[in-house]
Amino acid sequence: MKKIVHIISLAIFSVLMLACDFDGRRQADIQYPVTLEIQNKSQSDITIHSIYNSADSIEGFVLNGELIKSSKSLKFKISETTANEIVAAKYAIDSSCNGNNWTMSGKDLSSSVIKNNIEWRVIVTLADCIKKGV
Amino acid sequence: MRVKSFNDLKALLFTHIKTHWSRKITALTGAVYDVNVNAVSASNKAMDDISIVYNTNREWLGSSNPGEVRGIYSLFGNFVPERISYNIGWIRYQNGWGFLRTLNADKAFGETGAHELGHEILSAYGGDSYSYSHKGSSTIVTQSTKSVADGGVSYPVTGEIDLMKYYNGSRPGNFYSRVFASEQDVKSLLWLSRINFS
Repeated sequence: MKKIVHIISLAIFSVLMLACDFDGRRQADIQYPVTLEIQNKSQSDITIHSIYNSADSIEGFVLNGELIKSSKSLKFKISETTANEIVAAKYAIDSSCNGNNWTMSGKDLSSSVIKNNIEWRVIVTLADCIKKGV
Repeated sequence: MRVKSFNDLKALLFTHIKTHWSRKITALTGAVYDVNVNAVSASNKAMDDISIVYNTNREWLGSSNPGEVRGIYSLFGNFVPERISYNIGWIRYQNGWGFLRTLNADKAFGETGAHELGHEILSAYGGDSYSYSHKGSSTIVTQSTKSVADGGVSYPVTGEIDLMKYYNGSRPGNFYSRVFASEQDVKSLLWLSRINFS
């Protein structure tokens, strides 16, 4: 019985080790250090289909979105270069709201940056459910 | 398209090992020495082997180095792959794709490689639990960053960042130019080499 318990313990420990993330989280935190937060401050629910770089940007990126309820937000981990493009407003958002599909240019959206010892966050605010051209 | 050969990546890794593991150390006499670490490829009288993996146009691939078996943790840790990944070009991470350019890919690969190879050094002089816990800054099995209250550390506002520690908080924008092996780790590397000065 004692032997079986030993074998089961070792098997569980081995599975735990396999499930471990050896240094992966450290590397991801270094390579994708910025949190992108899309805040929906409109009165409507907005579905984000994708967020992607504009033609004048240096770095390429495409992020998949999802539904953001009114007064809620959506968060992603992104790279420093992607964050720089978003802060420079070199991106667009494909979204839908109240039954309409829209493409919003980053130039028509407000963004802010929080960067201190604790966090590095880029916040994009969707103030209204209105159509904006790119 | 592959933009770097295996030999390119090996050379890049050695360059970054030199960058992150070379430093000034102070002897007990007070004398200051410049230690220049030059890695060489060897299969005899060498550390445990580790693979270099080129990764593009798919999911981001992490690196890990459970290292030579020196105790109970590394015995089971050896189920984990021993590899240093070079992520470049279009890489999928979480919910999207981003393009990693050469400059950023090189920096991440080099720093990660210097950290992963450092595990072998920490393990050799401090034991596998010392290495797996990142000198006490992370938990051993789940490899989570310990809170400051629990003995962990936060990124220093200025100065050096220890290559082998896990940190709380947001990584600084100038991270790559500040991250070095600590003086204790470099001294321990010299101690491990059994080098004699006459």
